[in-house]
Amino acid sequence: MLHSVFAITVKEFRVFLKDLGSLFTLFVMPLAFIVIFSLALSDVYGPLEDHPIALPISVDGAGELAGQIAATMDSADGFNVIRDDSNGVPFTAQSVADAVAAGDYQFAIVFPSGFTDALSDPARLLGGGAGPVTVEFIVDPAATLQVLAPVEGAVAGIIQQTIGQMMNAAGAEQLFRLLELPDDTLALARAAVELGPATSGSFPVVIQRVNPPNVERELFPNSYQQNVPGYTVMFMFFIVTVIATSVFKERNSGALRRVRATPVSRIAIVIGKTLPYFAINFLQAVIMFTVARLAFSMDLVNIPALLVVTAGLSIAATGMGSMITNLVRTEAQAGSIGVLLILILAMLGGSMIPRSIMPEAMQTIGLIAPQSWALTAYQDVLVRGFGFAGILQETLILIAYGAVFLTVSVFRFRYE
Amino acid sequence: MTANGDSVATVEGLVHRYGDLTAVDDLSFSINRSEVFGLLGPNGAGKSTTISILSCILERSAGRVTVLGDNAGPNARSVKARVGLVPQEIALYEELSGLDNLKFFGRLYGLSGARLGQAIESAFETVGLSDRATDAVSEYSGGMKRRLNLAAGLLHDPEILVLDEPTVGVDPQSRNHIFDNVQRLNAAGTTVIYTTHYMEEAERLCDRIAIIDHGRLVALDTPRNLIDSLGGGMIQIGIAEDKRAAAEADLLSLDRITSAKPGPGGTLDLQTTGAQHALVDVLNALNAHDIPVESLRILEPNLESVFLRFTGRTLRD
Repeated sequence: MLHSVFAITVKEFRVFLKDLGSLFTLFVMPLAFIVIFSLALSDVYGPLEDHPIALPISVDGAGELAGQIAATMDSADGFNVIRDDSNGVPFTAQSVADAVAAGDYQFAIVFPSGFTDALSDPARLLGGGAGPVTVEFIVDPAATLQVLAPVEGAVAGIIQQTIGQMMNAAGAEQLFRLLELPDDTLALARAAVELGPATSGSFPVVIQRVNPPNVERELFPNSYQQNVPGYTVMFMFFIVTVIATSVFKERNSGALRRVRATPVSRIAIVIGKTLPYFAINFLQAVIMFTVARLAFSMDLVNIPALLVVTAGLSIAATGMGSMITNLVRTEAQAGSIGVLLILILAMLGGSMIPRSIMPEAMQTIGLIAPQSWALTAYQDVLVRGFGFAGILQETLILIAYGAVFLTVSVFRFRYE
Repeated sequence: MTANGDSVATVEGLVHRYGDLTAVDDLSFSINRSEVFGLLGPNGAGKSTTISILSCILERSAGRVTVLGDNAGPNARSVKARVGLVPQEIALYEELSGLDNLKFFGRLYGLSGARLGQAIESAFETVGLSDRATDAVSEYSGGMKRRLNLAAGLLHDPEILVLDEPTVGVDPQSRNHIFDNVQRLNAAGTTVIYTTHYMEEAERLCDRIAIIDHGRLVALDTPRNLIDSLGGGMIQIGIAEDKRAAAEADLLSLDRITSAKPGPGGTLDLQTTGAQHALVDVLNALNAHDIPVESLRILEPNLESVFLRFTGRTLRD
């Protein structure tokens, strides 16, 4: 009996080792998940000083005090203050807002022109005079609240701390003048003020959260605006497995071999086999958004623009399905490698974790994934309220992905 | 472009390799217009590879193949449009009806509208499936699927019809139906290339037969001539090498032995005027000279024996 058990066990191991699909599912897939999730979330779980948040600041015309506050922020753990744009030109109120609108940064701060001068007025500093000075905190509407709230709190804290010290000093000086304190007492009183609490008057600086230019939407996407596009994008790529099943079935039956005997080109076969799945894929997204609208009252904002993005996404997804089907040798490989690839790209592309909370390097790597462009485009429509012009670049990139995938499919197309 | 003379296909020095395996090895023959040309050989002989190249679905490794005057190859669309392939497997979409299958393949051959409708009707009539046209193929019997498989290759009225083992796993009724179809199409002028490992089929249907083994052509002639080459039958006899020359001289003196030649595997092939009767004479002669017989085989005059004679193996080996 032991001999039989041994023979069966050895045979089973041998068969298993030939099954690339199972090997991928059991070993490569969990490893890929562990590595990529860990890298993607390293900023969330690691110490803040290891991954400072990029914070562009415009101090254009704002004077010395604004520069001093910016320097304080830069020295604080967790912030990487950026004062110049990618061309090395100091940010202005306009250019820093444009950078956020372009998706380069999630947040930015604009100190208004004349900020320092305005606060040199002791009356204003003590809550009177011409009223508070407004510092703009520009926020990408797609930024998540989990990241936004601590950043905003830290920014406000640094500004309040700096201005508060000035308020204490200014208020005390006014009082000292009234009391006509002798010099030795005055020195002691000033030292005490340095350590004392802020005055209780209204604060002379207001931090106002604003949208980037041309973004008319309210801040903070809701749960549906985050999840519906994210999971729709992720699951649209599962068309890969459906295409693979169809093609392998046709190959295995010999029908594709027979098709090869007809005077039909490979490009016609690839396009003919991809088009129906494009339609199915498109319909899949339409149903997802329709359900989100009807069941959860999700605001679809601009349906034609959503459809354009969906068309681009469907081209990329079905193109990828066709390419993977023609690159792998068996249906099992298409299932395992295809699903692994879909999940990795979904992770990198932000379907599972918002890309905004990933480290910068991971965000850059994520641009490889067509999912990231699709999600950005969906958020442009649903969260930022952009129209056709705002989604053109992302949609063209998705179509380009689809074109490349389909070209590879044509060259690698196999009939048997 | 049309083929020169009566030849519709010419194969010269054809070689095809799958990795290290040479499936077709220096094959040469030509196929005449309106003939039924058989490729006979055991499984793995290289028949399917040869017809795949002739049908332009496989690129050859070496050699020259001309079909209907054009160079054959996967990109030869003009050739594909004039050749109909009926593959060995049931290459159909089982979920679809017979009608939908024929519509699909007809459209791939560029047919549409009334022309497509007529072609489908004619193909259904030819294979006797008109009353089952709208049924799903999955509901067809094995024989019916084979007949529909044939119909899909006829839609565009091909000049050359390539049938790859069309009767494998088919009931006798459907087999006869297919035979009738082949003969009728051939009578109407269609050239038929027919591969099989059933000698009865080859003998019944083919005008000429190429016997292939290990990718090589071992004989090519009409079935009659191939069978006649065995005379009244053949005795294949195994004799130790040192006694073979003496035995050959003794046996050639017998009345019923017309020739003696070295055969495959060190045998001596004796052509007879009647194998059964000659066998007694042969054994007596060898016994008289004390020459032991190591093996003995009688080859009746049929294609199976022809194959055995040339290869030393049966078609089912």
